[in-house]
Amino acid sequence: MEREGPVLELLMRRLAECPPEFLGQPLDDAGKGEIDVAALVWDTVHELSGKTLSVSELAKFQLEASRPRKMLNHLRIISATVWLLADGWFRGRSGVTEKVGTLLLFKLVDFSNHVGFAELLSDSDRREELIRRVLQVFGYRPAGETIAQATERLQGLDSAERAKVLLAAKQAEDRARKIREEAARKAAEEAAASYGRE
Amino acid sequence: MNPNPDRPLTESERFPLLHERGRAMLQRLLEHPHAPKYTFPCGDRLDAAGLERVQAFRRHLDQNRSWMQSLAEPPWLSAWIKRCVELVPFYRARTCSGITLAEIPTCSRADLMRAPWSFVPDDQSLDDLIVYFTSGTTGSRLFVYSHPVVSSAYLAGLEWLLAQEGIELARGPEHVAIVQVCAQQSTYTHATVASYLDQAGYAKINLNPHDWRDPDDRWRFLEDCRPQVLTGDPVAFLALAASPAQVQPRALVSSAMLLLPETRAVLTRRFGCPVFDTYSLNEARLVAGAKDGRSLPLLAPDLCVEILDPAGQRCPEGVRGEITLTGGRNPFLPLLRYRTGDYAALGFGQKGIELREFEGRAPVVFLDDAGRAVNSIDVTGALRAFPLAQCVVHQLADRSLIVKVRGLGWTEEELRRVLAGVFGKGTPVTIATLSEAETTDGKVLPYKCDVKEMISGRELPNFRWQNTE
Repeated sequence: MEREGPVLELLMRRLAECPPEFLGQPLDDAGKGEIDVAALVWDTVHELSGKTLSVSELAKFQLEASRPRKMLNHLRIISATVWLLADGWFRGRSGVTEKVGTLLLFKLVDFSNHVGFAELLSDSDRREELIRRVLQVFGYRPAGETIAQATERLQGLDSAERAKVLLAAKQAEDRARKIREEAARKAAEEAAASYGRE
Repeated sequence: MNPNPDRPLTESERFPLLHERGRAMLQRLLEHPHAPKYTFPCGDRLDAAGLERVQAFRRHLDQNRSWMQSLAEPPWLSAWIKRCVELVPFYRARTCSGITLAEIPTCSRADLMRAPWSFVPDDQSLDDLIVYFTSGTTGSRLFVYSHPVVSSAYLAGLEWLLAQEGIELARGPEHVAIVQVCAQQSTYTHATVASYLDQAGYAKINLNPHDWRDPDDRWRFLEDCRPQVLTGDPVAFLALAASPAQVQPRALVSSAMLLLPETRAVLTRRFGCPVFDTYSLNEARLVAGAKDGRSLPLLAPDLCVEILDPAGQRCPEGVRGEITLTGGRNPFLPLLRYRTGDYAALGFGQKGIELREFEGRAPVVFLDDAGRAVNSIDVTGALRAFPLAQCVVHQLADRSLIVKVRGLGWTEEELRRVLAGVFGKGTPVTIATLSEAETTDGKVLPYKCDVKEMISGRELPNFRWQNTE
């Protein structure tokens, strides 16, 4: 995030206004669906970096009819990201050229594991998180922010981190409940000889 | 582990290492013709792995004692802090990694009372969990999570302490190693054998005659068992000293209350053996002890002792403050700056680091309406019926009582009824609410007695025994 990038609000608005063409059902390997996400990705990567993705790489963007919702969610988020990357700001930018393939192939898996597509559309925090993640991969931060501010804001929005914290809290509560239950059982049971007064 | 706690433990669960000769000693104590009416079955719960850990602890005590010559932080401390901060929920929630001991916020009994489970490390198996409860000076219950190794390590520490003074604790099922003596209206009593001492016998008894089939059985039982060591508190020892019991232990080991020099002198004369004073608490077990003098040398290198002022700053050597512990041997209760509520200074004596000017819970014995002794622990037990935050029981020179309490769930009528049960109906009682202004930093001296004839520690008390049946 060393470099100052675009105005965040403009990209937020762009993402909020994602057209219906990018919101449809991704094509699956049986030919059903409305949007060919693989083709969108191929076009975007080629346009922004001049590179071409291989067939095996493109296969990652084709919905397998046998694989259900999780992959569908991921492809829809990729589709919305492609719309975001079509903004003129990304064109010809250093960092974007080198990383756009990596971004679409690998860097949004964790995000789509924790954020539902519907949530992305309805929750401005999630849209902001996606934009900040995209900019981070390219080495940028929103215009007008220091590196510290941008880092802190992204940490505050981080869905994966939030999920980890919630999971840790649940595990801690489960463990505490288990200890309390075990202690209650043991309190009803004999203790061991203690040998001295305290 | 008992898979079904609704049933009593089996013998093999209670005594995993019991052998035939050990069983004979156990039967001797349980079926002795003069045995007390034991209230509670109890074993040491120690298996082979646990025994090995206790033996390792004992060896550790014998090894390099150079740590006793320096107040520097022990070498294990940074790893201990790291473990606590990473794995113990209570500490994790209030500290961060990379912190030094002096930066860690202190904790206290109040934290332990609120959530004892939050002190259990994430990686600690619950299989060997045992639970004790203990009452504080307000009578409120504290549940202490512990492990069989912790109890038996107390024996190892005691054995080491005695050995420093040339007193050997004979092992084996031919001997009764220890009898713990209590002088209370009621308490749990039991007999067991200690695997750590090769299944030597141990019994906990209460001198209340109602706990025995015949009051004289108290002396007969003790005389026949010939315990090598008597453990207890000064009040119980004085009650035994006043009895006709002819026992000749190798040592008395006093804990739980302040042992006054006069009391020690009386007991030494009466029993013809040294009287060890020890500092031991449920949360850490044996911390320090000595055969004579007012100072208590530290016992084990697995406890780091700090002395803190009320602001949590370390006191210089020789300056009194609150004893604060880090470390310990209880896997269910790792301590990190635990304020004990007891006060002393750190200094160097002949044996190295010692607690000086130690002041634990002062023994207080009241008098009832007939002039008989009332143990303050029985007042604690009686007030346990009320969820009091704090209480002060002050007996004036005319034997009347002023009782001040803070907390909910009590009525004057109920308090009067309970106190009359302890002090007799002829003792005048004034009951009032304890105000914050009457406390020192929120603490109070719970028991005080101005009666001239009060048991001072030099006299042998005539106890008031209630029929508890």
